[in-house]
This record gives sequence, C-alpha cells and structure tokens, in this order.
Amino acid sequence: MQKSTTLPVAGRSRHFYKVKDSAIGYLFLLPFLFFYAVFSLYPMVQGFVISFFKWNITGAKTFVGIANYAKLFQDPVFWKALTNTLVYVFVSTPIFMLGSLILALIVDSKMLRGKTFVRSTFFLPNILAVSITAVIWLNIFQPYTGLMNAATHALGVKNEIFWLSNLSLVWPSIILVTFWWNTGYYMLIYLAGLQEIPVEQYEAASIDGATGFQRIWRITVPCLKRTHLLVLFLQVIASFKIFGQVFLITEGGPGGASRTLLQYIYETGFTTFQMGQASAASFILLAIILIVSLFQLKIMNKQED
Amino acid sequence: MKKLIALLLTLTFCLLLASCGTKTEPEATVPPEVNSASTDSEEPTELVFWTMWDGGDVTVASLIFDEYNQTHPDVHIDFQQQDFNQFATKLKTGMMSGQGPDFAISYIGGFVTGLQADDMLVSISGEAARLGVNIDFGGYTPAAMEAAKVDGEYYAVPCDNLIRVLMYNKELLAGTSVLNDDGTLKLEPGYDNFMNMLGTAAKETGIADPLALTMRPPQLVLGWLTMYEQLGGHDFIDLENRTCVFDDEIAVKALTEYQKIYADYVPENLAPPADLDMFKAGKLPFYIDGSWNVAAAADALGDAFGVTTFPQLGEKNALVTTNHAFIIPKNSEMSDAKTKAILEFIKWWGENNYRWSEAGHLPAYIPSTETEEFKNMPWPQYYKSTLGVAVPIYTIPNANLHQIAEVRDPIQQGMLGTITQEEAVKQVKDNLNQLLPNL
Repeated sequence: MQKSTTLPVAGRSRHFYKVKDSAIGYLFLLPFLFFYAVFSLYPMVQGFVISFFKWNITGAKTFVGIANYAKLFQDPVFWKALTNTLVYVFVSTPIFMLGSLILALIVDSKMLRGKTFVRSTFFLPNILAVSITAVIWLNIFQPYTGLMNAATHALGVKNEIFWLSNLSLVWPSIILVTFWWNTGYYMLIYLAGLQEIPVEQYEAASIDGATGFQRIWRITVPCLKRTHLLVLFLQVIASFKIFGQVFLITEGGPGGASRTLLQYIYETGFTTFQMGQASAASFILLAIILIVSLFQLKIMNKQED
Repeated sequence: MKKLIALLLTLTFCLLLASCGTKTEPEATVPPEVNSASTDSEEPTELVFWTMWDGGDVTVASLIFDEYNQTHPDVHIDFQQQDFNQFATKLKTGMMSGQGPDFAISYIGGFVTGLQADDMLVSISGEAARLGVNIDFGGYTPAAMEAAKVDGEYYAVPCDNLIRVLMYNKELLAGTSVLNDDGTLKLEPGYDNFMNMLGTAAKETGIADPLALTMRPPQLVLGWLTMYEQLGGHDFIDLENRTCVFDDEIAVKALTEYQKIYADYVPENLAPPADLDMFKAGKLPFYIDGSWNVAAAADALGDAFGVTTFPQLGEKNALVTTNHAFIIPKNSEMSDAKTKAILEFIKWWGENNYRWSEAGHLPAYIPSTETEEFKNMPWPQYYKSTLGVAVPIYTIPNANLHQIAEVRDPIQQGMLGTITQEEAVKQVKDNLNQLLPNL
C-alpha cells in the first residue's frame, strides 16, 4: 500500500526537481544569451537585412532585392577570391593537421629532453598579434634583403626567389606563415588527445613486437579520431576566415592572386562602401561554413554511434 | 527555493547594473565642453581630432598640434591617431552615431564628395564666411581645392600634397656622366632621355638594374596615372554617367612605357621595404617613391643623398597626387565656438604649413613655401616645383581610385607581365564600368 501512495509522489517531485534544475540552468544562461542576442544575433540579422539593400553607411538605404547576390555571381573578383579561399582550405588543412600531429608526437616523446622549452617554442608564435607576424615574415620573404633568400643563397641558389610576387610561390609562402603562426595551438589539442590514450595499449603492442611507426599508425592515429575531427572542424573554419596575415603581407597580390574571400568582403564593405554587397558575400561565406560544419557534425555523430 | 530566490536577485542585480550602464552612456557622450565652450570663456574649447597618419607623420603632426595647444591656451585639441585600415569606416560610423571627432583628416576625392552628397560634412567656406574666419582659400594648391569643391563651396581644406620624387646617390654616381659638377642630375625631359640616363648609369656604375621602384600598388597605380597624364591623357571618370572613358591608346602606351622602365632597369619584383632598404644601403643609385621617404633616405646617405622632381617622361609635365585634407563632420551639437576654433586652427595650419614639410610633404598653402623657414629646409627646394604640375587623382564616388581592387589588380598584372598591357587596360575599363554604377 505504501508503495502505491509514495511512488507517484516521488515521481512528481523528481519531475519537479528536473524542471527546476533546467530553469536554473537557463537562468544562468540568460546573461550570456542577452549579450549574445544583442551583440551577435542582432547584428547578424541586421547584416542579412542589409544584404538586400544598397547602402554606403552614411547615405539612404535602397531596397534592391537579391541584386547584391546576383552582382556577386557576375563579379570576377568575387569568384577569384572564393576560388583562392577554397583552394587554400583544401590544400592547407591536411598540412596543418599532419604538422600539428607530428609536433605533438615530438613534444610527447619520452626520449625528448627539455620538453617545456620545445613545447613553448612551438606554441609561442601563436600568441603573436597578426601584425607582428606579418611584419616578421614580410621581411623574411623580401627578395634581395630577406632572410629566406640569404639562406637559399648560402645553400648555393644563385637566383632571387620571389616568395610573395611569384604566382606559384605566394600561396605556399602564406601557408608557411600560417603554419608557423597557428600550428602550436592545434599541437596542444593533439597533446591533450595523446594524454588520453592508455599507456597499456603501447606496452601491449611493444610486447607483441610492434615498431614505433606501427604503434603510431595502429594505436595513436585511430585513438585520436575524435581529436582529428575536432582539429579538422576548427581548422577548416579558421581557414575559411583567413584574412589578416594575407592582407598585411601580400595585400591580396600579386594582381589579386592571393585575395581571400574575407579580404573581398573587407574591401567591398570598407574601401568602396558597398555594404549590401559585402553583407551578401558574408552570408555566402556563412552558408559555405555552415554546410561544411553540418557535414562534419554528421561525420562526428556517425563516429559517436 | 532559497537558491532560486538568490539567483533571481543576482540576475536582477546584473540586469540593473547593465541597464544603469546603458542609461549613463548617452549622458556621458554629451560633451560637457560644448556647453562650457559657449558659456564659460575661461575654460579652453575642447576639440577632438582624428587622423589615419602613422609613422613619421604622427611624430611631426603631434609636435605641431602640441605647439598649437601651447600657443593657444583658449583651445585644446585632443590629437587621436586611428588605425589606417579602419579609419574611413570608423569615421563614417562615428559620424552616424554622433560619436565622431569634431574634425578629421581625409583624402581629398571620392570619400569627401561622397560624404558631402550624404549631407555629412560642414561647408568650410560657408562656415568661415558666417563666423568671420578669414581663410585664404585662393592660396591653396588650385587643383586640390578644385577637387574639394562641390557646388561652389569647399568641404575640405588640403594640408599637403603627397608627391613622388626621384632620389639618387651621388657617391654611387660619382664619376659617371649622369651627374653635373654640382652634384645635380643631368636629366632632360622626355622618356628616351630618362631611359638613356638609366642606361648610362647602369653601364658606368656596373649596376645592371639601378632604379628602386616598387612593384606594389597603390604607388604603381599612381605611377601609371602620372604617365597617362604626361602622355596627354585626362580625367577618365565620367561621374555623371558613371562610366570610364579613358583614351585606350594613351592608357596602353602609358602602361607599356612604364612597364619597360621596370623590365629594363628595376630589380625584378622589388617591393617595400626592400626598395627603400636597398637605396639606403647604397646598393642602388636611384629611387622613385613618395617624398615622405626623403628624410629617412637622406639620414642614411648623408652627403651622398640627392633628390629632384619626378621625371617628365611625356610631352606634358604632370604628377598625379593625393592630398590629406581637413574635414568637419556635421554635428547638431557643435557650437559656433567650436566650429570657429576649428576654422582658426585650419587657417593657422595653412600659415604654418612649412612645418608639415618636416614629414616630407609639400605644403598645400602656397604662400607657406615662400617663408624663410621653408626655404631653409634642405630638401623640399629640389622638388617644390611639383606644386605647379600637380594633378589630383581622379575622383570616384565614396572611394579612392588608386586603392580599389578593380584598378590595382590589372595594373599590377600588366606590370608583372602576367597579362598584356592591352588586356590590363581593358580589365580596368570593364571593372570600372561595372563598379561605378554601384557606388
């Protein structure tokens, strides 16, 4: 009898506490949601609205429908910038992922002495401001006076190498700068992932006679699957948003060969003040990132299953 | 329950704080000096000034502004340096929100006329007449003033002329036939004469590529436009019909001849900072760039440094220039006392414009070039004649022609030889015809 009377009460109170907990959770979230709505969501909605107007900030807004989007697709500068960005994302992402994994493995190696120093050395460039990074590498890449060419001359290369003005070298140069600047961050994520792999697995593999490469290939790489996906996710989004280092080092040159989509948006919005068209380009970039992110999320969910 | 109440109280407190902040902000934005300027004559009139200048410009400008503040105790100008890349946007948004400066610097041209068209600027000549400030508008570089004029009124007052000059190293050229006995260059007007001089210098110094000249826009675009003017071209922006109407033949010839200078006598793909560095290091005998680099190059080379005007390569002597200029944003809260103080400063800047030449720029107020102080400056004497041939950069709405991708990219490609000069000119024309109706 007791059971029949107490259980529903206990059930209701559990439900009550569950709702209460959720309510408290949402209340904690409220300040963040408030600021997120005011400073992120509202400007985003405004930006979307502006993409249907012709507007130069100080003048009157004129509704133009989807004309800004239509103009974008007819603009060769937009297509060039979009192509540059896509090629950069697809070429640089595997390089950055592999590079940061290798750096993490080096830092995680038991044979390495002075780990803290090496880890700091790899990570330190990441704390530099983009302007500092750009000035350093702009000087390093200079023909006639730069460090890179001094090094190649010392190695016996007689001709000047035009790192930033040669069409086939400008993007590899930018990838090198970004690798130096950003890889330390992804190295740390990989390092965290490496700490989670049980040592016993390596010990068992060693007893079974696995070589160092086999241990990495058969244990480390598969066990880091979730980390790979996280790094891929972050890296792809960051690569789509590449701007500062390219803008400051090459200004999009030579002849627009290194103009990125974000630089196109910046120049359209803040050099010629076509805010509507710049907003339209921003939403195209948002759509691309959303599609890629959703695709990645789907893969991550599959991994979970 | 107690926790929930505590939480609600905390939240309410947070929201109250937030709302307090938003309430006080507008009050804080009302400049107290507006009232004090008009009511209390003992308090100095506070003015906020924004500029995009950087480097040596800021050093020199700060000294000039400091001097003004010291010699005019009734006015205090707050000199605020803004980031170059964000300046135009920040200025526009500041003007829209009423948080902008009392006066600012802008490039003369499309940005000024664009703001004027949107009714965002004060007519400087109109306000000067109304408030009795006698600015000698006729004394400024006529071409720049013409570019600052809309419907007969001046909406900007230039503070300089940004020009390019030819610098040279007398030590490297010593003993060659391109130098006169007094250390000046033997250079007659004309493209062939200039090319011959470079060729002779290359041969006699053993430096195959003797000229430092940047491959980077926007200087590249200004060089091409100067060549276009010198070959007989004129402003090719038809603002009324929003089209580009340049003479294709002259435009192609200008680019072809300019590219040949690069191809024959400039180290391949030279760009800042290597161009200035190589000239300063005494590796190249010639350097063409903005006069703002004169001081740095002269300091590095000492007595070996020489400078002259940008060469006359075509039949006509001309140099396409840009100009910094003072503008006054419209602000309903601006008192007459403040406006008058700004106008007085603009007038004072003109009368003391020679001081700004310490940053390498040529004064915009021509009588300032006749002062003893200007005449005693070591270098501007050699290139001040440029004032007579200055052509302000052609105006496009809301932007600057030499800074837009639609012009920069094809010109750089044409110079690098990745496309032909004909194709580069065609692309500039097509791009401008597509862009201009949208601006």
